[in-house]
Amino acid sequence: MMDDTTEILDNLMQELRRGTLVLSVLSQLFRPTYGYSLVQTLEEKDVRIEAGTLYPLLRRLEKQGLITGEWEVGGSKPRKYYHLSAKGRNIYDRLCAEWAGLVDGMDKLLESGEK
Amino acid sequence: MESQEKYIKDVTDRYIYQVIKRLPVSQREDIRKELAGLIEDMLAERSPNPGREDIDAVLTELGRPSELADKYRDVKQHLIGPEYFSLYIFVLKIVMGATALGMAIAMAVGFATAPPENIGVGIGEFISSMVMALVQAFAWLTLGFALVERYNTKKIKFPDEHWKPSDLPPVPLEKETIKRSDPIAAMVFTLLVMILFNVAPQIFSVYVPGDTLTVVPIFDLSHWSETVVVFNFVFALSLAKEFIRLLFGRYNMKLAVGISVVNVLSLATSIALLTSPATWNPDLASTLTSIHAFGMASDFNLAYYLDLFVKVLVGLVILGCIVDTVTVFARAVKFSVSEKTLT
Repeated sequence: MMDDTTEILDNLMQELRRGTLVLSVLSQLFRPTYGYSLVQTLEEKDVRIEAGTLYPLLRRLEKQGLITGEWEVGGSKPRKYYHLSAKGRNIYDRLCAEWAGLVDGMDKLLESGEK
Repeated sequence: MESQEKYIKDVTDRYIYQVIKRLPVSQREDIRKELAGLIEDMLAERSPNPGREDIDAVLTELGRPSELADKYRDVKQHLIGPEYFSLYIFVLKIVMGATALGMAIAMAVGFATAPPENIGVGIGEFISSMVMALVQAFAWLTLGFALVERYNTKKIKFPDEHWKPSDLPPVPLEKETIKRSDPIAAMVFTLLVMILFNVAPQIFSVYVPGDTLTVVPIFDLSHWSETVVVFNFVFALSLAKEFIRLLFGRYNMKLAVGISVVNVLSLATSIALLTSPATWNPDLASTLTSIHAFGMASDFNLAYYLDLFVKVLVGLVILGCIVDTVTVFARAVKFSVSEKTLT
């Protein structure tokens, strides 16, 4: 019975976080950043994304044209730096507005639910 | 220390290879470089002098290579998706069962009329023919479903943008639906006949009782291997027709058109097959007359009646085809009234 609860909870939390993934990533790409440093930046801000999830996501966003990726070979090792495109910027702004509305609505719901 | 470095390099290469081999060639090099960089970064983060445990921990964190590759691919790759999978399994079981049964019957008949040299040869022949038939049945059925899946995913990817609830098709009436059992029964029957035609064509014979039983084959068995290919085409069309019925599950215009196309093809081939002299045993009439089968007089013109029989057969085939086509159209028209959108 206990195990069951943990499993369901884990699944639901994962789903909840998955919805915020793209917004989290886009928010940190105003400056060119490479994958692993993005993992670290997000982690410093208590947003944990596994590298195995983030890397494929970056490629997908690049394919959709929301971010652009460029190889930087000057440093000690070649790294691919990603950064927000104009299209990505536009979508990011709209997602932010949507997010603010969501938080508002959820706050109201959860407050009224407590009583 | 050196062996540690070698281990890190080797296991990293192996891991990356397992990921990228599952991805499109055009993306492999890019992903390989990126993953290599990532693993290096993750290692450096763990320890300035990474060892065996460190690389193992890093790769474990990244997860199973196949799962990582899945995340890189946008679409799941499959031959038959969830929409058709249960129907596929259902039909597969029936078709495999019917094929096994048909083969068993046909082989038994074959052995009874032409016994194998010895038991060992017989068993070997039985097993190899059975396996071949089952593999064929499995392959064709799977191919059929895979084609339907492929054709239909387009619809799923580009759904009608202006979808309206009033466009919903009505719940089909009881008599409007095609019961699964009808096409299934037809498929099983066709499969059984098809197997008999392929494995034991000699059972289609005239059996003349007398002092000794005389068996005269109806078909020309001397070049049967060519004739049977055409028969198989007709059977395949007939199976395809039942498959279409099964997939649609209800009468409508699309079904009617599909069925008529198959019917026309099947009719043309059948007529060509039945009227070709190469199909029938040329000695049938003369042999039967010569042994006075069924009390025939020796001047009885059996050939004439056999010829007439073929003509009647062709007539029946045409009639059956017309009835089937007209019925399916009539039902489509009748029920298209209820297909109309809600008002």
